[in-house]
Amino acid sequence: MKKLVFIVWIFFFSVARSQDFNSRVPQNVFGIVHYAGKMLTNTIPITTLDKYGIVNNDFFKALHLDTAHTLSSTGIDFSSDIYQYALSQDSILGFVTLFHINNLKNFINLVDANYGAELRPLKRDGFEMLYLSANSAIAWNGTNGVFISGVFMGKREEFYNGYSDLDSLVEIAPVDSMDLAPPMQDGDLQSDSIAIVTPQDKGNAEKKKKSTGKTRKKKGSAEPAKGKNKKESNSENEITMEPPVVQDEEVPSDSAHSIPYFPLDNDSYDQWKKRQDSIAKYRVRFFADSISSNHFKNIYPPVSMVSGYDRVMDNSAGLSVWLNTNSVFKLFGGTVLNKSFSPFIEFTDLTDAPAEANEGFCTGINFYFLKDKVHTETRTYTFSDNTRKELKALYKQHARKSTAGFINPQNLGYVSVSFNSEAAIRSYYNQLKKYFSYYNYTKEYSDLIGLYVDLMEIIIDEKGISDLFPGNYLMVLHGLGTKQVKYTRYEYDSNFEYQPVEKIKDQPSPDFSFVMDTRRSDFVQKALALPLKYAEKNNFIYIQHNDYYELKFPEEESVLNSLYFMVADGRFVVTTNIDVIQKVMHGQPFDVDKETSKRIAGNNLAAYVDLKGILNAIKPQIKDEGGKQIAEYLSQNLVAIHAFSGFRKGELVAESNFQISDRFENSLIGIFEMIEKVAEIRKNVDQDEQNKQN
Amino acid sequence: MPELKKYFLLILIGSSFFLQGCFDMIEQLTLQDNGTGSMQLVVNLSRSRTQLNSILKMKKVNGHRVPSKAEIQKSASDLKEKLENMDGLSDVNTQIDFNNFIATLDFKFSRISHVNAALQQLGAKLKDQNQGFREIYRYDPVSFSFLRVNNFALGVEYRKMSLADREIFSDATYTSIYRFNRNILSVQNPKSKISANGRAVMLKSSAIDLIKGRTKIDNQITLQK
Repeated sequence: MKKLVFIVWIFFFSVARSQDFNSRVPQNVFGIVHYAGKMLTNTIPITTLDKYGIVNNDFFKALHLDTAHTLSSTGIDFSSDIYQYALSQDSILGFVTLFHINNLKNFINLVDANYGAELRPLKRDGFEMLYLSANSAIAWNGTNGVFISGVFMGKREEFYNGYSDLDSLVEIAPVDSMDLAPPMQDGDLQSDSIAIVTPQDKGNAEKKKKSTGKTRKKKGSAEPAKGKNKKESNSENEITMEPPVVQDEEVPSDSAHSIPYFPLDNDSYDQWKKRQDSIAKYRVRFFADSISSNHFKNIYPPVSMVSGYDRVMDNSAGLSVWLNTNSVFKLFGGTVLNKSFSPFIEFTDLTDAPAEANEGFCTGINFYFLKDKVHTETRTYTFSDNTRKELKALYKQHARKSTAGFINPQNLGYVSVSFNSEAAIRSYYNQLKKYFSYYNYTKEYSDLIGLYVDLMEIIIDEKGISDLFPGNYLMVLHGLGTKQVKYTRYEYDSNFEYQPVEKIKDQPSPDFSFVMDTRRSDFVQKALALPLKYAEKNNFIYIQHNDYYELKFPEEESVLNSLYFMVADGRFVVTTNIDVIQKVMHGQPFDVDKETSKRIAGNNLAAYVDLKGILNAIKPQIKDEGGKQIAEYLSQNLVAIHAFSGFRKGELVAESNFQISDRFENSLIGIFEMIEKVAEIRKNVDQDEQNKQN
Repeated sequence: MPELKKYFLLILIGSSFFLQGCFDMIEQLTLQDNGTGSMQLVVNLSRSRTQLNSILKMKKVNGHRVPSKAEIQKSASDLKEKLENMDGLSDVNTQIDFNNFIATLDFKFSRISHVNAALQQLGAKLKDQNQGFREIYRYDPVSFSFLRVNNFALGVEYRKMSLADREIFSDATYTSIYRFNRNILSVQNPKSKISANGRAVMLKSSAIDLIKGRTKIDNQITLQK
C-alpha cells in the first residue's frame, strides 16, 4: 500500500512538474524573469492589452512580428506562466523564453507569417524546430514552445596573412557529409559548404575520401593548431585546422552540425570573417538544439533546487525576476569578458575558485500590481554563512528616531541611509584578501598581499573613522522654490543695431538639508571654523553666527542664496533652510508623521519621492508644449514612491511602493494607460506643429 | 524597445530641469560693395549662467566632459591665432565673458570667400565632420546679390542626439543680421525682415524651428544697383 501511495505521489509530482516551467529552467542560469500568466491576465485581460498602441506597435516590432496579429491570435497562452532566462553555455550568451501554446494552428500561422512560410520546420524527437536566423531558433510541440536567442561570445580564430597558406593543408570532408544537415535556411552558406572534420568525424571522413576520391591534396595530419603555433608548424608542413569541438554531451552529435568550411583560396579577410560568422552561427545552433532538446525532454535539475531560490522568488507575484551573482561572475569572468577583454576582467572568474569563494548572492524581485500601487519586494539571500554574518554586522545599526525631525511634512523627498561604518571597513579587508586570492595574476602572491592588508588593518583606525562617520545619513528635499537671477539679452532697434540689456528671471532653487551623525563633534567644529580664516583671501563670503556658519553665494548669480553649516546633538547639518537651523537651535523638530519616523528608525534605507509635488514644482519651468501637457497629465496621475530596506531573518529585504492615482482599475492598467496617454500627447503635439507648418 | 525607453526618458528629462538650456546665437555680417566687410558671431549663454556656474564645477554632464575655463580660453586663443594667420582676415578678436557667459568672435575680411575659409576653420575646431561650414556665403559684386546657404542637416544631427542633449535647444534662439551699404531690393526668405533704413536684413528664429525646418536659414538678398 505504501508503495502504491508512493507511486501515485511520484506520478502527481511529475505531472505537476511537467506543467510548471519552473522545472525546465536549468540551474546554471544567471537570471530569470517569470510572468505569472494567470495573475497578469486577471489584472489586465489580453483583449485590453491588444488595444494599446505600445503592444501592437512597439512590442510586436520588438519581436519582429507583424502588427496584423493580436496577442489573442498568436496561439501563445498568455494566461499561463511564461519564463525567460539567460545563461552562458558553450561560449554562447543565450536568452530563452518558455511559453505555453493554447492554439497550435494560430501559433504555426504566426510563425509562418512572420518568419517565412517557406522555411521547413525540422522534425526532432517529440518537437519541431525552426532556425529563424543566425542567432535565433524556435521549437514547439503541441502544448508549449521555446524561443532561443544566442550570441557567440567565444574567441575568434586569429587572422594573419599566412592564413591562406593553410588551405592546402586543411583536412576537408566532402560536401556530402552535409546530407543529414538541417535545411539551410539562409542560403548564404549552402553554396560553398564543406564540413570541417570534427575529431569524431575524422575516421568517417577518411573512409569517405578513400571511397569517393573527392578530397583535396593532404599534406599533414589533423592536429590542433592555433595562432602562432600554426605559423611555426606551417613551415614544417604539419598543420591542420582545429574545428570547434562542442564539449557539452547534451548537444546532438550527428553530422548535421558539421561546421561548413570556406576554402581559403586567398588570404582575404572576407573569407576569414565569413568563416568566423559561420562558426558563430553553428555554435548558436548547437546551443539552440541543446536547449530545446533538454526542454522537451524535461531533464534539467530545476533551478528551484538552487539554495535560496524559493526564499527569494515568489511565483505568485505578477512578475518576478531572479538573479544569481555567482553565475553572473562566472559569465562575465569565464565566458564573456574573459574572452573579450582579458586580462582586466579575469579576476571575477571564480569558476575554478574553491567553493568558499562562491559567496555570492541570489536576488529575487517580485512585483505585485495592486489597485493604486505597484508593490515591489526584493529579497537577497547569500549562500555563505560568513557573508551573512558580515551583513548582519553591517546592517545592525539604524538611524536615531530624532533623525526624522529634520523632515518637514511638505517635503518633496528624502533618503535615509544607516549602516555600521566600522563593520563596513572591517568587511572590506576580507573582500580585498578574497579579491587578490582568486585573481589569476595575484593568487600566487596572496600570502604577501594578505600581509599587506593585515598591515593596513593595523594602521587604519576603523573605530576612529566610524566615530567621525558612524554611518547614519539623511538627505531631505524640503521644497523647490524660485530665486531671481540676472542675465543679459540683446535688444534690437529699428535698424537691427543691438545693445545688451540686463534682465531678471526666476530660477528654480532647491531647498534641501543634509544631515550626518558624528561622534566627533569637536573635529567637525574645527573644520567648520577653518574657512573663516581664508574667506577674505579667497574671495568668498563665510560668516560665523552664534551657533552656525553661513556660506553666502553672490546675489543673482547662483540658484542658492546661502548654505548653513552646524554641529549639534552629535549631528553635522548642511542646509539651505534657515528654519532647519533655528529648529535645531531651539530643539523644535518638524512634526513629521509616525509612519515616516518608524520607517527611518526601523530600516537601513528609507526613501520617499513626492512625484506629484515635484511635477507640480517643475511644471512652470517646462517650455515646450508637449512637455507641459505631459507634466500636467502625470502630475494628476503619479503620486509617490516609498522605499525601505533592512536586514531581516538572514536576508536583505527591500520593499517599495510606486503609488499612482486610484482612478485606474488597477496599477498595471494605470501604467499602460499613462504610457499610452503620453504617446498620444506627443503625437498630437507633433501633429499640431505639422499642421502649423503646413 | 526604443519607444518605451523614450517615454521613460521623457519623464526623467522633465524632472531634470536643472539642465534645461537656453542660449542665443547671433550672426552679424556687414558687407561693403567691394566685397570687404566684417563679421561677428556671438553666443550668449547668459540665461543659463547659474546652471553653467554649477556645470563648470562638474567633470561631466550628460556624458560629455566639461572643459575648464582655462581650456575654453585656450581654445579661443588657438582659434584666434589660426584666423590671424589666414589670408584676407584682419583685426581678429575673441572674447569670453565668464561672468555673463557670452562668447564673441569678430574679424574683418577682404573677400567673402575668406569668411567661408574662416568658418571652415571654426568648423574644424568644433569637429564638424559633415562640412556644414563649407561655403555658406556667396556674394556677386556685379549683380549685387548676396546668398546665405545652409549646409547643415540640422534635423538629422538633432535626431542623433540624446534626449538630454536635445534639451539644450529647447529655448535657444538664432538671429542673423546682414548689413549692406546699399538699399535692399528683395529678400527670398519670407521670415526675414528688412530694417527701417532698408540696408539690413534680420532673421530671428527659435533653434527648434530651424531644426524642425519650420524656418529656413537660406536667403538670397538682392541689392539695388
